Amino acid sequence: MLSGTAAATHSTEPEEKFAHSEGYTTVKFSYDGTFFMTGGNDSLIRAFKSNKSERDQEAQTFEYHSDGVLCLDTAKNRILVSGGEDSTTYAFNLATTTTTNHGAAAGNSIGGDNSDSNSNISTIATLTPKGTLFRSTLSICDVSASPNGMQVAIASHEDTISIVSLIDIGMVMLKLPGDSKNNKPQGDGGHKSPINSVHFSSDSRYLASSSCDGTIKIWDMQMDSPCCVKTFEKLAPACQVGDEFQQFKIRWSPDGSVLAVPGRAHDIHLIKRGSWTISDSTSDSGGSLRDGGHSGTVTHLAWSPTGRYLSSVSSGDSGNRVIIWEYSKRSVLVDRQHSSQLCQVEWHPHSNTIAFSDAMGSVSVWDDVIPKGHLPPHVAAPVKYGSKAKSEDTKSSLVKNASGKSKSSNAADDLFNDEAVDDANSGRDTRDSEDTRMAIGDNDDVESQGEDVESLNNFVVDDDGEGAAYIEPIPQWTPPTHVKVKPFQPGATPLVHGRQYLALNLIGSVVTIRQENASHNIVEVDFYDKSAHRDTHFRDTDSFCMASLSNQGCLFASKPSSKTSKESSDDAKPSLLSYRAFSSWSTVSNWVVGLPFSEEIECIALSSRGAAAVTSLGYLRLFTIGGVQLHIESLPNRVLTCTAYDNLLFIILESTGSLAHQAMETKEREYEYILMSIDGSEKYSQGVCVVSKESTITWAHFTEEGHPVVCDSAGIVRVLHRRSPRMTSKQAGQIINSHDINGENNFNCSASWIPIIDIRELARSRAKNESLWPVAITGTQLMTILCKDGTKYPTYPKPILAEFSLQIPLLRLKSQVGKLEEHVLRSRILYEQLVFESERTGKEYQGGINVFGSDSSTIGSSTGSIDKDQLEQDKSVLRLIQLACKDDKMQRAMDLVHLLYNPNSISAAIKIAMFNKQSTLAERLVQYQELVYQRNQELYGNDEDADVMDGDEDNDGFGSNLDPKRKRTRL
Amino acid sequence: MALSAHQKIAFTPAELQFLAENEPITIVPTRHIEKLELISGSYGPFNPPRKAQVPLWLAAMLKSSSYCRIVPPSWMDSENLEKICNSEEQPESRFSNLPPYYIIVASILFECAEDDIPEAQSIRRLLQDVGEIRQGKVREGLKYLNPAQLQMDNLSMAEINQIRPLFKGAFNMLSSLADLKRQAPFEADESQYSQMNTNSSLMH
Repeated sequence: MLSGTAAATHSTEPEEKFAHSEGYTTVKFSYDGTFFMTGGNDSLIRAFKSNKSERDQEAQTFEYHSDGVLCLDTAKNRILVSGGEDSTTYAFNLATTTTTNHGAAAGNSIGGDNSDSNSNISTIATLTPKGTLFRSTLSICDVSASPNGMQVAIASHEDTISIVSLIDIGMVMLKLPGDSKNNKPQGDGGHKSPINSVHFSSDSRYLASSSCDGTIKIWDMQMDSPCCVKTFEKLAPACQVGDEFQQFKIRWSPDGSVLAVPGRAHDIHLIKRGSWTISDSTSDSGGSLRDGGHSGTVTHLAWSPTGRYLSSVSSGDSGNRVIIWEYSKRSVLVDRQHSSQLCQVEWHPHSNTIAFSDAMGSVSVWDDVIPKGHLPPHVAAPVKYGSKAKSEDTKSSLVKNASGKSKSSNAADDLFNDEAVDDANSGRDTRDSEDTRMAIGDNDDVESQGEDVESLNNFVVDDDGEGAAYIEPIPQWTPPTHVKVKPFQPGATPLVHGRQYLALNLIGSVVTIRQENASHNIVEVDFYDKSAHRDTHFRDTDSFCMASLSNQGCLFASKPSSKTSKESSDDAKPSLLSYRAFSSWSTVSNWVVGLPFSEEIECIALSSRGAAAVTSLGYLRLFTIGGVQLHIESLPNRVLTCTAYDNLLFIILESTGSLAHQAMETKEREYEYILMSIDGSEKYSQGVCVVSKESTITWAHFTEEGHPVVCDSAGIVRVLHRRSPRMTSKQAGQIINSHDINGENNFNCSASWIPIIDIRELARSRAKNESLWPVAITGTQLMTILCKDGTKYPTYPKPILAEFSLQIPLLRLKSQVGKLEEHVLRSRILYEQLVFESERTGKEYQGGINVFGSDSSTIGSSTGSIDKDQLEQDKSVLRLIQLACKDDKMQRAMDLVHLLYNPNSISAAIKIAMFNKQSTLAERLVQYQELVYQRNQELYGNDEDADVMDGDEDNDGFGSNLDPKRKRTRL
Repeated sequence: MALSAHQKIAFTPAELQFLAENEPITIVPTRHIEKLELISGSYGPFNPPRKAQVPLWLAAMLKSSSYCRIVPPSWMDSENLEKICNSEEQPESRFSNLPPYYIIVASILFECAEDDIPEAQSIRRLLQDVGEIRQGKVREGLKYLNPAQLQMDNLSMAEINQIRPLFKGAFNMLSSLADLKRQAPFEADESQYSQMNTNSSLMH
């Protein structure tokens, strides 16, 4: 190995290992530092032990990629993300199994300078694939897992950045736009050339990205739709697309205060967070690392775990060099020539070690890279690795250095934070305090050795009142345990190409069109039934982002205007709730209410009887159509969505268990529902809202008959089936009599969720690349929008609705019997719902349960009667009885007879039995008929007698001919 | 309509169109229409946005007064037509299964509801291609005309109509010749058929 002109004397040499075949090689330490992973041109990922004594052990090889591996990143929850030339990004679980030999373990240390201890800890890395995160069309250049382990940013050679969830593998959360089709009118556009690097800041708030034309962009990821907060045009060198050796990487410092970017003049720019400037007055050399530095373009850089040192590699005609910079002095500490072109450099998280890779496929591990006499580059390792004696030693020397400023651990914390503030601050710091500051910083490091590494990131900015310079408030780092419910509006879509469906139901649609470079949006309200209302559109200056559409009006809501205009607080708008009537007899029927600034509308619902809004304070505010504030109620602050129908309001909440699961980063979700009246006077039903395993609720609505339905991300649509207690106890053969219904209603009755259709299965059975977007459910049909070509949301213009028959997932649906059974069950559920609804509302029975009614003429128009619908159901049951008789399944036929409503149907069943020569069955049926007849007589007295007798007499004439025995039973 | 006596053997285009207009088609009404009680039957009521099946003539009428949108039939899809076009082009291929009135239905839809057909231009072009390819194949197929039968499955009404005059004459002639042959088997000449065949192909 060559040894170059080192700025400091060195006792150690890098240890070179050949890991991969010739080509671009990537290297990354595992999060705890026990392994370093390499990826190379031979499409392999290898895991080497980083412990010096074990380094020579054979690496474990993992073969998942089909082409060269270009980038690796690790997240704290033991996840490894890799991307490569095969345009695919995989996520792996990086499990390490450790076995410790007795005796020697106590004194071991792989942290610190003496990492060559005789460790007997043997660890084995296992990579278990978690799934394919993302497939692109071009090769993946860089991946960055957010430090909170929730998401991964992926830079491919396309000009968009994809943000993919690590919790829900395979879900693309959003794509940061590529070209000028930007999200927000005031926002900045995306990159105009292929992205080559992405990196999350340590608090996961900012994402830095760079593209091949040298442009750097900073994205604020905490906004609902991330927007670009700063663009540096052509700051970094331009590089050729597709040549991975030219691609440079940008990296945040560990505390997130500085972004290091390779510059065009072989230098490294340091961009300050907050002010987003390259200038830094604490340093004479400006915001760049230049002096005595690289003679070629810097391609990769890495911060030491404390941010004290920065290592960078450059390649070029004048030599390939690894340089370690001392950040505080902006000077070169270590400079080393390397024989071949360099690719990447990484720091060991808990030790004075770096690893760099080169184009020959070899990875060099360099122990004790920071010479003695300089501060260590790392936080002391967690206790289990740390050697107590050594850190005590360091501590005492550092306390001496701190020149009497030694403080308690808490005070040191504060001081460290001051440092961060000072760094972010411009022009208040003086150079002479630098050394002491660094020392105190170190003091803190040693003090906090037992804590987790992230405690460093967990700094709080305390503004010390000297507001001479503006400091961007750095948000408090949100730990992953803090999970917020993300409410949604049913029927709303995300913003695509400047258009967004705010509401989409059977009445019509509300679309908002974002106007570029304008202060207003256009809102279009479009009806399916053009004769009901005229399509309207209006200029929306309040940027409404929620809407709920009823057949009389539309309710809009907006979020408070964004904080970007904080200088002029007069412009800031509160959350607004606005109702617009389509037609009304009163002259002024529109109303607008504003909420206090502290309160924000989360979701809204509107029906023909009232309006509801759930706010961030957990208030459920109920209004009448005219705008009267009718009711207010506090709900747990985890409302997911709400929807309304007539006088019903249906609210879905995430249950606390779900939030706990989410905090634990599992995918289990649990939900609760509340069904109440929209005037707040009554609660009808409350309980668990069922979802499939590991899925979330994506849609909630009412059926056209007024029953809550919920669709989850697994595609199962469930209807809340409520039956009156009277109906559950009802025996077959009884006739429901409307006179019989008493006034007193106990409708907190048994409610159950019945799966009525599986839309994913439906989409699969169509065998086209389509996904279904549910719009409405009628009693018999599912109305959906077919989203083609892999899109998940309806596009513009509004597509035609597709109708599918509901299908309860019963068994043997392919057979005729299965189909009929499903039909019978589905009709019965619908019938029971309709009966229940008519009982509840006191309205006339609506009818129309013709399940096979694919022609629209029967739906919603026919004024069916209970008798007619019962007869319809009996017909299907009789068909089943016929099939059972044919197969000699008499018990089956007998069971089916119990499902019949009408006494006359029993007679028909007897006829069927006789026709199929099942005389024993017929006999039993006759006995059953007798029983029903007697019970009816007891219940209804003589009123019903005549009717039932009629049926029986018909029967007699038929039955007596064939079955003389039956006559006897009657006598 | 001025038609030669020869053409009068077949349906007139107007007659064909009348027949095609009875084909059912799916519409999406854009406004509520009460039940229509007509002599041929009752249609509706129409509740937007629920789809409804009506005869083509009614759909065209509703569309002309912008009371509905017409949902193009499933075969009228550029992807599907492209597939059909490709399979028809294969040598030795059979006629693909298109509805009997596809040419006329398509022309009616293009006339009255072009705005409801996505990619109308390419569909129009594809239909023209398919029509021409099939016409060529029909003419090829006529070569195999014999006194007993001529089988060409999946021909549309318009296509049958095109060959009807020729086919009728030629087929009758052939079968009468075959009768002659049966009556006088010894005098019959094998070359008669082939001669007849060439004659018939020359006729068009």
